[in-house]
Amino acid sequence: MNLKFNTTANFIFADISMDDVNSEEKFNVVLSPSFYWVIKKALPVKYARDAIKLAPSIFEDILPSGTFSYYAYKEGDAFLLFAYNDKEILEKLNSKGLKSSNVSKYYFAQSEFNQVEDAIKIDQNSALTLNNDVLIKVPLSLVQSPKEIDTDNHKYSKHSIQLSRINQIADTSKLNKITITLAILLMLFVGEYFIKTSSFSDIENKTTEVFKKYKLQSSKLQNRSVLSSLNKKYDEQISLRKAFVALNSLKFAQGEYIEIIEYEKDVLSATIKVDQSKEKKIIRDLKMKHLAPTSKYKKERLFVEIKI
Amino acid sequence: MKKVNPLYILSFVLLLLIFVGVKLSKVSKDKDYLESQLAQNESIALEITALKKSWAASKKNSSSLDRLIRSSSLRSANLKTKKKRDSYTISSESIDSKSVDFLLSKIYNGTYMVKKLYIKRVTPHSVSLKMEIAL
Repeated sequence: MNLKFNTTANFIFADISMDDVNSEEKFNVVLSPSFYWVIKKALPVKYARDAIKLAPSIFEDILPSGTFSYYAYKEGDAFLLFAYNDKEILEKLNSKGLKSSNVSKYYFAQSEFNQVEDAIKIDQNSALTLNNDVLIKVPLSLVQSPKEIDTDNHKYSKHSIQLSRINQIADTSKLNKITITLAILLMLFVGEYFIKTSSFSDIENKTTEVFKKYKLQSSKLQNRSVLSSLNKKYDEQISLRKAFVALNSLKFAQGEYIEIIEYEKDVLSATIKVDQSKEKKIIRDLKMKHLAPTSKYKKERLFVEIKI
Repeated sequence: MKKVNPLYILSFVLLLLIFVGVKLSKVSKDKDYLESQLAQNESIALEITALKKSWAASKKNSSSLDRLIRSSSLRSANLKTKKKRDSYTISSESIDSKSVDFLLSKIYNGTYMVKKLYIKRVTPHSVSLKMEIAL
């Protein structure tokens, strides 16, 4: 069993062979070297954040396939560089009953036990020992008089990390690129929004100008009514002319003629002196001119009415 | 300072983008609506103006009718005219066919608004006429 914690402390040492955790307490998890890769290297950079940027290329030939997160801190003249797989660690801890919601912080064993002089026993078979300033896990039989971890008085380093499944979705640089792209799109949207909003007053001004220039009524409904009325008059006058021309173009025999043509209240009427046998032909001729005449014959006169 | 999770920032930007996108869509619709209203108003205004020019130029119609009645082709027709504020009446007890054809062709080919018309054959070559034109 690799689990090392007492009933009051929230220290827990996590290794791949650890026993199940059956507790809802909050823990600070110290990760065994089994969970991460570490390299100590002098780099031509000043700050840890710059070293983290170089870490992927330094670990390139060492790491198996997968998505890794990186961490670094300076120790002496060199940097300690870490690579770890968030997803694998979280899944392993979860399978042991250690939920991420119950974890306050994660630490590397490297940063927590970098000052030890003797080996540290972590279970019945393994121990941790420093080799060229790098903490490694070795079989217990290879070390002499190992010490137990002092879980009650352990002082944590400032090198804690956050494990997140987010890193598995996309790496941070990709997320940042997507965020920047969306932010640019957002700015364009905002710009477009203000341009469109400002154009409202222009449209309103133009509308006012149109009303003033053409002396329109105040409402669109009134203007439609005026237009409808004018169109009706226009259509009536055109229809009247067509009907009048149609009547005048009728052919008559000797002694036949139009006696009266009258137009009033949208009705054009004609009294035609003609033989009754011609009635159908006259009506047919008028209908061929797209008119809708009605007729009656009385006292040798054909009375035709055309609704305009 | 604790580093903010990039996914949170991405989510926030995405939410803002959706919010602004919805707003922009609404503003675009409003703008399109206002522009279509403006175009409709302009179209109505132009139609009304054109129709008014054609059918409602009362002063122009009145003087052009005066000129028509005084024209040499109608001088011998002895046409009577009666002008009111909104109408112009032309009448004759007897007008020859040639003159009436000339008069009606001028009226019907012009933009005069005929309100009433009464033509009655008097003889084979003459008719009585009464015509009221709106001004």
